[in-house]
Amino acid sequence: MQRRSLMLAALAGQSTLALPAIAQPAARQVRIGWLTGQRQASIAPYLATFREGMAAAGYVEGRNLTIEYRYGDEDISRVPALAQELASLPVSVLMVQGVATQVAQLGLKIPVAYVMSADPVIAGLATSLAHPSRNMTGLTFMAAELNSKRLEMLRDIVPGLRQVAVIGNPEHAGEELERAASRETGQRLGLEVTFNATRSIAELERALRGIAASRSQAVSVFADGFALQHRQLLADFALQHRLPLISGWSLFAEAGALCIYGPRLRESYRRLAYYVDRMLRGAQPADLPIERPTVFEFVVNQKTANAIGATIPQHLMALADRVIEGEGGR
Amino acid sequence: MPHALPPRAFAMPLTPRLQLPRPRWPRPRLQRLALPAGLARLLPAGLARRFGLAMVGLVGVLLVGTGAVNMWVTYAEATAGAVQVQREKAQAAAERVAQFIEAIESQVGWTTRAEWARVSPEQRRYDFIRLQRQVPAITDLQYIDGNGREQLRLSRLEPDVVGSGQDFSADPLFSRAVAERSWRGPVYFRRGSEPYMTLSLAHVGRMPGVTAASVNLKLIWDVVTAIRIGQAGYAYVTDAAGRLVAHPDMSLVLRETDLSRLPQVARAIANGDATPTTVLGPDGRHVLSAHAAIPQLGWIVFVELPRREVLAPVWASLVQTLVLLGFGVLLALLLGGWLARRMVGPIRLLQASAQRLGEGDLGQRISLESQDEIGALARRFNAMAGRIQEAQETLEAKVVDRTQAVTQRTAELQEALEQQTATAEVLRLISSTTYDLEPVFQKLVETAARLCQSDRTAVLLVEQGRFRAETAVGFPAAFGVLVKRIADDVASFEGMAALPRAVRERRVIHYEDIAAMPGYPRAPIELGQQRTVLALPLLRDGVAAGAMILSRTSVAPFTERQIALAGSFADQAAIAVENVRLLAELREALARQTATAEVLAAINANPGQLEPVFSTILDKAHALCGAEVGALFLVEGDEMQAMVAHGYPPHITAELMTRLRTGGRSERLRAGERLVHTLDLAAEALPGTLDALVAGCGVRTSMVVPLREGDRLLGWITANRLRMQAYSEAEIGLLESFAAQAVLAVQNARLLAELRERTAEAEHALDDLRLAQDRLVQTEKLASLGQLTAGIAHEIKNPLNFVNNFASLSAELVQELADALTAAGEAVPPALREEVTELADMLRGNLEKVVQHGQRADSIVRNMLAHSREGGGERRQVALNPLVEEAMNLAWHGARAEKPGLNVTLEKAFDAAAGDAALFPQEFTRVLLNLVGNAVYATAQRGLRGEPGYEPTVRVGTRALGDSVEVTVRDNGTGIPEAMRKRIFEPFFTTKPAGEGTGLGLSLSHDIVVKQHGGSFTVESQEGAFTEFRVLVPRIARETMGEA
Repeated sequence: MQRRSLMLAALAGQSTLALPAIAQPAARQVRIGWLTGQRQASIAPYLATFREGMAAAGYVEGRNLTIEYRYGDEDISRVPALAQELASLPVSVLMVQGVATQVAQLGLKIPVAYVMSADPVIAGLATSLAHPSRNMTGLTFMAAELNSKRLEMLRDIVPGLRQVAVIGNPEHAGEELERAASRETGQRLGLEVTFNATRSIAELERALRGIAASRSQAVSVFADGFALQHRQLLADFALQHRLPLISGWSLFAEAGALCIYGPRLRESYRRLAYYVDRMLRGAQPADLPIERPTVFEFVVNQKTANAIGATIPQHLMALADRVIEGEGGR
Repeated sequence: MPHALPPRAFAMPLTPRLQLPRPRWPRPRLQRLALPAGLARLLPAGLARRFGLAMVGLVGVLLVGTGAVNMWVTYAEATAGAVQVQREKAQAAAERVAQFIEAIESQVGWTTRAEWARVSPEQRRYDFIRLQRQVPAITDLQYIDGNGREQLRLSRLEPDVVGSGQDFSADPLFSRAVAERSWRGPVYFRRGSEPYMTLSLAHVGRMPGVTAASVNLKLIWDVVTAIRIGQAGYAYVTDAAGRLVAHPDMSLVLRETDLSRLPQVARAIANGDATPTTVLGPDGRHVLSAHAAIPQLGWIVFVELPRREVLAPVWASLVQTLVLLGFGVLLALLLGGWLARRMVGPIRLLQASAQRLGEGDLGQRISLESQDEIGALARRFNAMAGRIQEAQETLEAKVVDRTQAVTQRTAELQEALEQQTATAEVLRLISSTTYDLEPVFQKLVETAARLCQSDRTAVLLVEQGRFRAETAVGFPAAFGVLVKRIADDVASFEGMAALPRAVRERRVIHYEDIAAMPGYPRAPIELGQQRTVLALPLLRDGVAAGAMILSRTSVAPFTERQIALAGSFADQAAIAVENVRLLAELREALARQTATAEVLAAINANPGQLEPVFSTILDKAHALCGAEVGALFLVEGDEMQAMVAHGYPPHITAELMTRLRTGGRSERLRAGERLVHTLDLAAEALPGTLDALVAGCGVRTSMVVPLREGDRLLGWITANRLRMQAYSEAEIGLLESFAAQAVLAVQNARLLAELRERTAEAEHALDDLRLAQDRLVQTEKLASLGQLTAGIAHEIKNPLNFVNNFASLSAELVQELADALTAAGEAVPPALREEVTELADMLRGNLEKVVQHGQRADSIVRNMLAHSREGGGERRQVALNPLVEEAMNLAWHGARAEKPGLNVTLEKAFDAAAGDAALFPQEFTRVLLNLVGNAVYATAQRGLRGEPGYEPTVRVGTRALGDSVEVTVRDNGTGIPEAMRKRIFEPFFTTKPAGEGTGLGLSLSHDIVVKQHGGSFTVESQEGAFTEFRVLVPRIARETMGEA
């Protein structure tokens, strides 16, 4: 009798096991492409965040995910060839960091997920944020708008601010928009904004020497891969000349810039994995609206502030999400 | 083939407890059932098929019945449960979404204080930045002064604007807020993508300004995704027009999706009927959808769970039922088929053989090797057939022999034509008359008398040691007397009288003159006037079946030829006698076979039913053995009971049908005797016994034949005669074969009963399985509640800290304000001072409430976190009594601190042997604190009723119970109503009024005792009398439970 009930139980158990399980992400092998116009070193921290996002969605590089990396190494002209190369491998989804505008002109058939500083609507990549076009969609960092906010912050930090030096890489897509926004805000706030184009390290060093010699009271650096790569140089320069320096991404503040204000990039790169996951599951890019950052951060390096004798006004300190103090600076 | 009845009642005398439903199937439909070839082979037609189908039908009906009920109950439970849960989840989700907005509003609220209009623009900007910092969802903030002019605008994205003076007085964000204190704008989509909404709050005081905040509703995503609905369920939010505001799939929201055409959304907008229904969800799957409105926002929150998930337990149950059904049917089919094949095959063979034998095929034999009763029957059948065949062959051979002899003699005695003719006549008569001896003897006697010139001729047969005159010619009228005299005189076949001597010596006796023989009996001489006497034995296989006598009234010896002739007549008479005897035997054998076949037919027609079978067996046994009365008994232990009785008066039958102690003759059967044969029961029965009772009905000769199964005595058959006549071996053999058939029927019935028992067991196992499943579901439910609690607690903790900190800060600020006012002294007009003081007092009062309730909320959150925390502290051996005492003291002081006038007696009932136990001391103390606290509360509540003479008492006791220790907390408070007792261990369930309990105490305690300590936690209570909680924990941590 006992054996019989055991047998029944076993049968019942089997039948329960046979019920269809809830579908899990397919564990099939996928290959995606990663394309950037920058150097590997500049982008490495964010790439790690992207990989974390992919892992959370169930894709682990080396197990069921292969990422083909292509770096333009600061040479935008190489981007189209690299994109074509990735497309012909082929890859299921192409991720484009920064250079979406260049890739868009190629008219690739594969879906593209991008992150870009510029506004995709202005860049012509979408008719509206809700309706991306050209088989491409992704996230924007809204760099252009925030430059105005940064200039305002510099004005609040430096009493009697008159002249601000802006450093930007003209080869960075959307840079002209940032420049226009900065110029327009400068006029509104009564500031004299001087623009320094830096395409290479040589140009950067030359620009810094120029700024040191000028009457610039503060520096605003457009956040892009090139600047990020040389953030230490920029921060040390500002510290040496006791110039308040502001930029857009928290890595700058960690390197010693006085403060930064901008989106939490890591959030955006993590979110990029969501787009890739949806496209791998067959979603059309046109059905995935472009997202703008929701969370912005204001990071102050108090150590730098102390060193250059700058005082962050109380109302700005209230906004600070993070204050870097003590010996930490990098 | 005997016509079988459809399966009828299965109730049997042996197992009266089994009362199963009777499937009433019309027989024709059963016959029309076309079985597949394989099944037909397994279940041959007739008994086996009916047997198998009856079992399949029985098992099938039972399983389908229970399965259907099971399914229905599961379906109803799953649906009803899901509907209830969905409705509650929708409500809870709506509250969380509403809280999200209300939390923002309350944060914005602290920029609306009356003096804010008077603070410096810098301070305002500072306040706004702090607000932005605290509430990530706020993108833009505006301050509009009492005249509707914008004084300050802050944005996360754009430079701040100070004193723009833009006119907002006509804008609803100003006008509506001033009129209604606060205003919640409609949802709008920035750049056609991101959902936003404007909140504006009017300030305190005269000519109030307004603070307006643009809220990025994308952040509700965090709230919506945190709402867990089953495994694949989700929640989403639409505004009053059905536009999607929040959804776990952000891309739907950012595309400004309009869901108003979804039926559930349309219905919710139209009439607000909140009953969950099954509809197509936004992604096209069937879902169980529930919704709840957020009236203050005009939004609707939908909660949807895939129907497949709702119905998952139903499908599981269906599959399980089908597997069991299939298994049960297969088992029934196999068992039924096997049993029927075991039984029917041999019976069929027997039946067919009997039929062929009846048709005259005497060479028929049954090849049945089995050692069971049917095998025995077959062997008996073979033996019987052999005997019949042998007799037949002998008969035929003899007839041929005789015919040849006569023919030869006829040829020899050509001249004695008369003799030949006569002989031929006799022979013709013999061969034509098979049953009736009378004409044969008549002819023989007449012919013999004529041919042998005998004056007196007669044929007498020996029957039971006595002569019986069959036919006589020439005797005077006193022949009958003579025969009787002869019979009396020669009863012992002794002496010299011719007839007995011929029989005794089995040879022809020829006396020339019996009158001249001294000592010869006188009767033949005097009554028969016989002188010369010739007596010839009727020999058959060396036995004299009778004798023929020829005598003359004068002395004239018979010639050799006459003697030979008479001898041939005697032989013919013997042949005729033998012939008749053989025929009688043949008829008897056929009658027995017919009876056996009828019994088998009865077994066949009544599967599992004993009574009709027994009845047939008894009737046939009695009929064939010449018994008038008797019964068939079954024994159980030392009790016996007649199953059927035959021929008894009703009162004796009733007596036999009751349960009686065995004794008397049955004990001899029990002792192993083959049978008990009593020649005269009336003489042997002891008074007062059952035998005496039976003898009282006129029973004389009585036979008791056992029903044995191996060595076990199952019962017996009694066959009683109302006359004194011993049973012959043949009759005894017959009775034994009927007894064997009865045993077979009992075994059959037992097998059927066992099958039913197995079916009942299978059903029981199914019930157990279902119980276990229900318990599992309950456990899962509690576990998911715990996870949910942890999630909510984490979400709440951060904003709560802000609330608490800023409330404290604000209280200090109010104090500073009061101080400043005092310092200002006469500089402030008294009227203004009064107003400010009043406002400050009001603010301070409000802030105290905020602090008080904030701390309460904080304690709830901490409890919730503790609730979901896994383990805590270290498990170690702790002395129980001191721990309990410490906890009691703590609880007492705690209660006293809360209510100074507390009146309660705390009693200790500690077991000195309680010793140590492996505990997490902090956690266990927490359990005790909670229990004692609850107990004190319950007594206080009862105390409030003002019952006279009520003495609030709480007793805490410990007890050593071998491997475990027990702690009891008993109070004589209000008690817990029956209805609530089941729910008290659920998180957030509390009987205390709002504000006095979190509803987590007992739930936490339960988790600590049961999950953490591997103990048990029970409650006993009587409303208005007492409540006793009983905590039982093992002394030594069990590995499997301890750290789980």
